Amino acid sequence: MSAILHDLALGFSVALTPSVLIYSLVGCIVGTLVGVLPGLGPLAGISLLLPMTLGLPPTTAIVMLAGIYYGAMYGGSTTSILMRIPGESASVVTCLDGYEMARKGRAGPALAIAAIGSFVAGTISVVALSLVAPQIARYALNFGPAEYVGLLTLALLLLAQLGSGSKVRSLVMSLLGLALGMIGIDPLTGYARFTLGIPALADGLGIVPLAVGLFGISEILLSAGTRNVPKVAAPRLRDLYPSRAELSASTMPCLRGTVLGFVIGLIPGSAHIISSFISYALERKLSRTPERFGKGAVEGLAGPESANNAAAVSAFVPMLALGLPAGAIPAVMLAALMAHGISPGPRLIQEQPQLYWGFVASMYVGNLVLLLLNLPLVSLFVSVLRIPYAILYPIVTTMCVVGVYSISSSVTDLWIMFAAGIAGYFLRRANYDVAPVVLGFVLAPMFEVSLRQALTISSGSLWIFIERPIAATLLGTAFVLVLLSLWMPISRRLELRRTKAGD
Amino acid sequence: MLRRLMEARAVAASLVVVALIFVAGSFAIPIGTLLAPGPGLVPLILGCAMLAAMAASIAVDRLKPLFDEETASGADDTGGQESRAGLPRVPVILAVIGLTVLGFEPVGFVPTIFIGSLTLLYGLERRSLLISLAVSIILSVGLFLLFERVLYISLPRGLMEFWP
Amino acid sequence: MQKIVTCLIAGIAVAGLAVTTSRADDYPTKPVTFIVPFPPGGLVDFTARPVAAALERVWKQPAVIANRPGAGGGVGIVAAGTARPDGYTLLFAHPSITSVPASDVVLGRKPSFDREQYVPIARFVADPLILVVKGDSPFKTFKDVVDAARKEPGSVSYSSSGAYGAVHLPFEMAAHAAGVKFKHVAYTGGGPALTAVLGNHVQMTMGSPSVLAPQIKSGAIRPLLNTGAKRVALLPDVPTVYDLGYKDAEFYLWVGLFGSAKIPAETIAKVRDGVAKAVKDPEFIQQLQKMQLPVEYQDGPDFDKFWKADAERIEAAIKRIGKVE
Repeated sequence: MSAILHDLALGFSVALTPSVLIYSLVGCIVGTLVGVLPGLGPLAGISLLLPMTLGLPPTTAIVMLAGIYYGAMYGGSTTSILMRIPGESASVVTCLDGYEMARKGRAGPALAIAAIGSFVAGTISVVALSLVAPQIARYALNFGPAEYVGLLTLALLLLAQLGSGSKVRSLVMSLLGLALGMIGIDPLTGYARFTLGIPALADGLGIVPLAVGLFGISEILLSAGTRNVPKVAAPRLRDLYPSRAELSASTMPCLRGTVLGFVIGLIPGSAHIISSFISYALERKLSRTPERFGKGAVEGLAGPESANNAAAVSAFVPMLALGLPAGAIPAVMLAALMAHGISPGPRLIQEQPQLYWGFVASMYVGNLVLLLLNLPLVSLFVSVLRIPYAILYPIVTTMCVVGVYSISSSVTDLWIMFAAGIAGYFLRRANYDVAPVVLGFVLAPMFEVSLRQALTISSGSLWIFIERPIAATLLGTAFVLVLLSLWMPISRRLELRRTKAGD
Repeated sequence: MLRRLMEARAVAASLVVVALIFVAGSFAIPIGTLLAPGPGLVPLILGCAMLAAMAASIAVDRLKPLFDEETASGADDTGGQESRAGLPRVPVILAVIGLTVLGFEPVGFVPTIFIGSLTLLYGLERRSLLISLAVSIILSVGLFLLFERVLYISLPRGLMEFWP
Repeated sequence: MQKIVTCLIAGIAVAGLAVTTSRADDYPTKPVTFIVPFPPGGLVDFTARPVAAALERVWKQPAVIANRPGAGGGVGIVAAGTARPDGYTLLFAHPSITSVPASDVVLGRKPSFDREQYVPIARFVADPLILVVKGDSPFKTFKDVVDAARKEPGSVSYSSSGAYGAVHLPFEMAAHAAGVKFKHVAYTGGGPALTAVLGNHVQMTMGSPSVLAPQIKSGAIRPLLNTGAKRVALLPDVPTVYDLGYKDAEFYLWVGLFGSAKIPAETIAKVRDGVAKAVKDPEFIQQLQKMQLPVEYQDGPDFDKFWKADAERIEAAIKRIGKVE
C-alpha cells in the first residue's frame, strides 16, 4: 500500500508540474470542444487530434491525449442530452432518457448528473486501476472468443428490452440493426457483403453516421414536421442543478454502473462499448417503475453514464499493465507512445515509472478538471436551448454534417447519415423505436466474429463453450434468463387461474 | 389519419423488402454449415428472423388497431408543417441536406454550408437577413477555420482552392 | 437572396479558375496533398508525417496529410488515382496496394483499382515481420513449429490481422515454403491478434519488430522467425527466412510514395528530387530513429524493381490461398 502511495506521489509530482497541468487542461478543453460537436466522439477525437501532440514530450503528449479523451467523453453526453445526437455508440443510451429529461425542462440536472456520475465513476475506477491493474490484466486475457460469445449472447437477450413500446417492434428493430451490422467486408474471409460494389462501404455503414442520422437528423425532421415545435422549457436558474430527489435516485445506479463498467472494461477488445447499455437494462430490471424508462428516468441516465466512464478507464488496464493495444482507443494511445520512441510493454511500469504514474495521476486530475469545467458550463449549454428552434436546427444540422464528414473525410458517410435520417424519420412516425437498431448494429459484428473465431479454434466443436468456465457460466446465465422469460407469462397465468379458482 | 395508415403500411412493406434483400443476398456468398459458418450464414439467419418478426408484428397490428391516437408520435401533424415562408418544412430541409452533401466536395465546405444555412434561415424560416447572414457566415467560415486552424482537420476546399 | 447567391457562386467560380493553372517546371507552386489511406496513428501515417514535414522544408510549400481510411486502403488509393494528375495529390501506400486488388480478383469482385495505375516514387521503410509464440510455448525454433504442423496438419494455429492482410500473407508464404498447413484464425487487427497469443487462444502471430520488441524482452513472447533477407538491429538473434532456406517467404511491411501514372514524367522527376533531399534531412532521420523504424530508402527505379518482385510474391500467395473457407 505504501509503495502504491509512493508511486502515486511520484505520479502527482509529474501531473502537477505546470506544463503538464496546462496541457492536461488544454486537452480537456479541446476534447470537450470536439466532443460537443455532434458525431465526434472520443475515438474520432483522439485519433484526429493525435498529430497535434506529436511535437510534445511523451508524458505531456499522453496526458494531453488522455485529457482529449475524457473531454470528448464528457462533451459527448452534452449533445446526446440537448439534441439527441450521440457522438459514439455508448452515448446512444444517454440519448434515451437524457434527451427526454431535457424535453421536460430538466436539461440542466441531466447535464449535471452526467458530469457528476462520470466524475464519481472515473475517480473510483482510477483508484481501482492504480491498486490492481497488473494483477487483473493478465487474468483478463483469458477472455477469448468463446467467452465473448457468452457475454454477447447475454447482451443480445437484453437488446429487445431496450425499446420503449411494443416488444415485437423492438425485436424487428434489433434484427434490422444486427443485419445492417453485417454490411461490409467480412474480416474473416474478405467477402464483401451487401456493399453494392461501393468501395467506401467495405468497412460497413459506420456507427457514427448511422446513429447521427437515425437519432439526430430524424429528430430535426420530426420536430420540424410537428405543429408545435418542441417547447424545451427554458430552464430557470434554480432548475439548473439536480434536486435532492434526483441526486439520491441516481446514487445507487451510479455505483452499480461503476462496478459493472469497470469489470466489462477490463475485457480486452471492444467489450467496453456495451457497458452503458447493459447498465441501462440492469437499472430498468431493478426499477420498481420500469415504465418510466425512455420517458426521462434519471436512473436511466446516471447508471449508463457512470458505466461508460468506468469502462473507459478500465479499458486502459491491458494497455498500461501489459502494453497491449487491446482496444481501439488504447491502440491510438500506444501508437502515440511509439511515435515518441517509447515502446510500451509489460515492463512499462518499471522502465517508465514517471510516465506510467504520471498518466494515472493525470486521470485523477483530468476527472476533477472536467467536473470543474463542466458544472459551470451547464448553464451555458442549457442556454443553447433558449435559441429559437428555427435558428437552432440549421446550426445543429450543419454540425452533424461537419462532425460526420471529419471522421474519415468521406462523403459516403454523409450519404449514410442522410439515408439513416430519412429512414429514422419514417420509422419513428410509424412507432418503431430506433435505439435497438444502433445497439444491434454494434453487437452484430462482434458476436459474429467471436462465434466464428471460437468455432475455428475448436475445429467446429461446440465443446469449447462448455469446457471453458467463464464461457459456460455466461451461456448458462443466458439460458436461465430465456427459461425465466418463457416461464414468467405461464406462471402469471397459472397464478391468475388459481386466484380466480379461489374466488 | 388515412395518410398515416398508408405510410405505416409502406414502412412495414419496406422492412419486409429489406429482410428479403438480406436473405437473397446471403445466397450470393458462401453460407457454410452451422458448425463451420461461412460469411453468409449469420446474415441469412438474421434475414429470416427479421421476416418472422415482421410477420408477427403485422399479425399483432391486425389484432390491435395500428394507431392509438395517443401513442403515435406527433399524431397531430399532417406530415409537413408549413414554415413562415409557407413552404413544407420536411421536404425543404431534406433537399437542403441532400444538396449540401452533393456539393460538399466539388463545391467546397464554405460555399455549400453558407448557401445551405442561408436557405434554411432566410428562405425557409424568414429570419431577418442580418441574423441569417451572421449565422451562416459563422457556421461556414467559422467552422472551417476552427477545424483547419485549431483542430488541424482539413475540410474540402472545392472551388475555393485559392484559400490560404 | 437570389442575387446574393448568384454573385457568390460566380465570384467563387472565377477565383477558382484563376488559380488552377500552373506549370510543371516550377513545381511545386502551391500546397501538396499527401493521401494516407489509413487513419492517423498507424505505420503509414507515422512514416508519412516526417516525410511530409521534410518535404515542406525542401519545397518551402505546405505539405498536407489527408487521411482517407477505408477498405484496407482501397478508398484512399482510389482517391489518389482519380485526383487531378498534376502532381499536387500524391499517395503513401503499403503492401495493400498490391493485395487489395489481388484479393478482389480471387473473390470474384471487380477490383476498384489496378496497381498499374500508380507509379512508385520512393520507398522509405521496409520492416520484416517477426513470427512469435507465447513465452512458455513448447516451440523453441521455427523448425519445431514446422515439425508439429507436419505431424498433424492444422494442429498449429495462428492469429492474423484479417483475411489477406499483412499477417495472413506472410504466414501463407512461410507455410507454403515449408510445405505445411497452419490453422488460420482471423482477428480484426494486429493488436487483437497479439492479445490472442498472450491469452493462449492461438499459438502464433506476426508483427513488426518495433511493436513486438518490448514484449519479447520481457519474455511474454518468443521470436522464431524474421521474414526479411537480413537480420534486424532490434532482434539480431532471430533467424531470417534466408537463414532457414525459405527464400520464397520473404515479406516486408514497407511504406512508399506513389503518384498517379497519369502525372507527367517531369513532375514525377521533380518529386523524386525533392524526396532524395528530404530523406537526408537530419530531423527526418532522427524522427524515424525515435520510432525505431530503420530508413530503407529506395529511389523510383530501384523501388519499382523491389515492388514488382514483392507484388509477384504477394499475388502468388493470394492465388494459393484462394477463397478463405
